[in-house]
Amino acid sequence: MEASSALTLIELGAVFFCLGVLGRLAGRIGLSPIPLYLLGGLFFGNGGLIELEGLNEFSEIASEIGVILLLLMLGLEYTAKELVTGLRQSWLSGVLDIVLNFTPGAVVALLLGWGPVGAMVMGGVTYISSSGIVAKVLTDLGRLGNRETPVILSLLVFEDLAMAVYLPILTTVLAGASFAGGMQSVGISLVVVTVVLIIALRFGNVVSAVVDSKDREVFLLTVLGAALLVAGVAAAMQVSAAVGAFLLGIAISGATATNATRLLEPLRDLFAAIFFVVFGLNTDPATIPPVLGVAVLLAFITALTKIGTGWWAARRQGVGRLGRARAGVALIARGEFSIVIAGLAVASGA
Amino acid sequence: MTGELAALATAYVLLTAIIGPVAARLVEPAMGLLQRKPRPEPLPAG
Repeated sequence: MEASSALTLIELGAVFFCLGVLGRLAGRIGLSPIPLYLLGGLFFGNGGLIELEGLNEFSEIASEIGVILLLLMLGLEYTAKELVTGLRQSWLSGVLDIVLNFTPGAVVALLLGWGPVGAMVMGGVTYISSSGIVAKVLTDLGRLGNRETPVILSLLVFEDLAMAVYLPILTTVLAGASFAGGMQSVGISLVVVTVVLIIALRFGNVVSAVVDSKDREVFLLTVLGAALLVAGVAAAMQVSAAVGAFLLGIAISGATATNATRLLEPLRDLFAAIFFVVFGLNTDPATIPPVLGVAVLLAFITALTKIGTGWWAARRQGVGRLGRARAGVALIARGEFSIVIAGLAVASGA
Repeated sequence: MTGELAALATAYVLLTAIIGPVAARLVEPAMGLLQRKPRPEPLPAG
């Protein structure tokens, strides 16, 4: 075995082991592991206390697979019909969510002199709540059956749908395409999203049948292969790999989606953890103190705007004051998709 | 911009991902305190 391979295995093993310890610690103190994974990445990465040299190639591709699996699993949670229904029911609250929570990030980016592209990125970072953290909090606190929970879920569905439109546009803007070229790419993205939604609504059973298998191994390889294939083709068409995977997830429905979720969950957890660590690895910890004040201010403002969003949406559905407060507070946490958005900007070198 | 943006996004997500679940646990006791009605004054004797 080459010395470089041995080093990679040692570093990879150490990182996975530390992530396991951090995950256990997060569970003990009732937190999502995401912030601890990011801290772990900062600790080990560029400018951190211990720099890892042997992980570059593996960690970069594993991190991309992590994003693809995060979006694929998100798509598997919903059928196209549920997405369309959720959009119809919650569009007004969803629009308020965009206005209240996209604006603070965009304004801060403009004040910091990052221009319209930076504003678009930071707006997305502050807009989208972490469906992973929200779902875990609702489960842990036994609030899944509460009256305000459908309101929270419909807002999350709206945000996911907004992401399906936002991510292709962001990818195009970050690629620095000309206005005409950009509009063309956005047009292609919107057409692809619409076509996939129509296919998913009409022929979801066919898509499910193509990837389905009774053999676990065959099923895993087919679903994972299809996700990476669609993600790759989507990226080649400027639609963003993550969005391609999300749309495939929506197209797969019924028992196939349930089985795929069960089978892919451990893989998603593994690769998503690598994604958060890699983001931390690529961030120099020395760059955080200068922006910490802004981050605290932004976190405070956007906590209030999310509470306002949840309160208003729950009030529209006739939920009482305590339920409205619970709905608002549940939406505060940002996580995986904020980091995905920032990651796209960092990867493009914008 | 990317270095600063990555740093701001990381710090921001760290903060909100910690504050969110903690606030979700505390919201019920906090609302209970806010909604608690003041006790009525005792009636004067006699």
